[in-house]
Amino acid sequence: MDPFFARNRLSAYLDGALDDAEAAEVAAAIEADPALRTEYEELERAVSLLRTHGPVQAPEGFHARLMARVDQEPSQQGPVAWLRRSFAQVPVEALALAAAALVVVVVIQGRPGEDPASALTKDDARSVEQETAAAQLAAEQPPSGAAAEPGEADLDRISQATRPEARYASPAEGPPPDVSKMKSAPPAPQQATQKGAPAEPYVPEWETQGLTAEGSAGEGEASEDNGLSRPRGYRVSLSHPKALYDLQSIAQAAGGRLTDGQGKQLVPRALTYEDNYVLAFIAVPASQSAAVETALRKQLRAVEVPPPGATPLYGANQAGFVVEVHYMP
Amino acid sequence: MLLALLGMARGPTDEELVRRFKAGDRSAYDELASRYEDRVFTLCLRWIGHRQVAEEVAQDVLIALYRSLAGFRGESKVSTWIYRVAVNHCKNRRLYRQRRKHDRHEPLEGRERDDAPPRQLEAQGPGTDVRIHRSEAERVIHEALEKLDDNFRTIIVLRDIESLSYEEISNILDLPRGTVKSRLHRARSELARVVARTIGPDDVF
Repeated sequence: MDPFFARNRLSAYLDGALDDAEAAEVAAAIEADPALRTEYEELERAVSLLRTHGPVQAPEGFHARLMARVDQEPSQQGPVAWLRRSFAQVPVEALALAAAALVVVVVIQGRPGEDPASALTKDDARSVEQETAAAQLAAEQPPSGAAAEPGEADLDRISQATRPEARYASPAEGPPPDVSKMKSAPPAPQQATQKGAPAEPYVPEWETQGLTAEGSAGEGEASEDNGLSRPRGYRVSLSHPKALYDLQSIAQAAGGRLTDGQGKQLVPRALTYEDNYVLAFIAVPASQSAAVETALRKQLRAVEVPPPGATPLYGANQAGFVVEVHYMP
Repeated sequence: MLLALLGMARGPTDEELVRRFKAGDRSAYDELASRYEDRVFTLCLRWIGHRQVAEEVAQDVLIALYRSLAGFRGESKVSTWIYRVAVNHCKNRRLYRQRRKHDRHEPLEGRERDDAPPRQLEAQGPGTDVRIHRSEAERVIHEALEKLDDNFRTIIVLRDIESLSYEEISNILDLPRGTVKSRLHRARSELARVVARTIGPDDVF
């Protein structure tokens, strides 16, 4: 066998992944070519080193620390968790349709005289007035039995019609799930930036200066002296996979950019079970800091956390956000 | 019957543990985490090279497993999912550490000049004058992996440390099997070159 082809098969030969005929040819080539033999021996030695000494045990107490963290986690079992996961699997379009249907129902209900439910409520309201008067009379006069019954029936109807759950046309009208809320709510910073958003995407200084800091908040190179600051850290745990699209909207609405840790544009993608953790950076003009913070908190229910590990530093006219995105179906 | 007994001796499969967890048995997660924590920690340590950070990342991976387990649809094997998430976590974490060091013009931990001569290892006592002590092997592994490209390091760790098959690696990295083989070949060649520079020709382990 040509040494070139044999050389390209050394790894597979080492793994025993060649068929018998090919393995025999590689063995013969190794035997015949001292340089190839040296190469194979070095390969074998390096792989042997890793196989022998590579695997390690988790540190002592690892499992206990893990289970202590798990104890702090919300339960992943039971009906609440099931509902959360189920909503996460409902297409956003379906939720939008449901929300639109809800609006229609509410509007129709609000128009007087067209909806039996409205009529019932008006009747009941009259009944309340009548019952109030009857109660006043009853307080003055002994009860007459049969005369009191219609009033009690009306009160029952009112109580039925005015129960909190009865105010909704259907259970779907209850408090909407997080996903629909996030999708239907307009991004807060959009309004703030429509007036004065820069025409070009904002390029933060750290991308050109290459500055980073590492450590918890307040540490690293950031200081008032050099005018640089660390990004604010946020953690987002969402059950819908489009969080990166939301972050991009927030960044763009504030005239900024969504990037990775290298300063490269982070192209949004739908997260999956396997790809469920992303560290995303938002760099915006300092004037948009509050708008972005509000959007993160309200739209994505982001929680502020110390920024992780190494982060870029931002100039005085910039605001940076580092967002840990956990997709939790 | 014999197969059933063998099955009982091996314990429940990952898929059985997932089913138990979904049915409300939290101890199934405990068992699953125990089953994978050494492997996940190993991957993180070999990828990141720092024990404390590796533990943090390994814990994050297993917490992600806890959060996702009830919704696990079985589209891939549990082990595939865990390794894939672990690799993603490691890449993210290491990216920022590397960037900081690069921007400060600091060498990576343990990095030596590429043209440095092979280091002569200390003798470990009578009869073991060419045997590398475990800590020395540890140092060589750390330095060698540190010098590899991220893609090379990933495939080396999965194959030669985690002992996964080509098929499993193909699923984890979402690469064709042929690409796995060719990348592994190139990664190992690079690894062998780095290790050969780090240790002497007569050192064995």
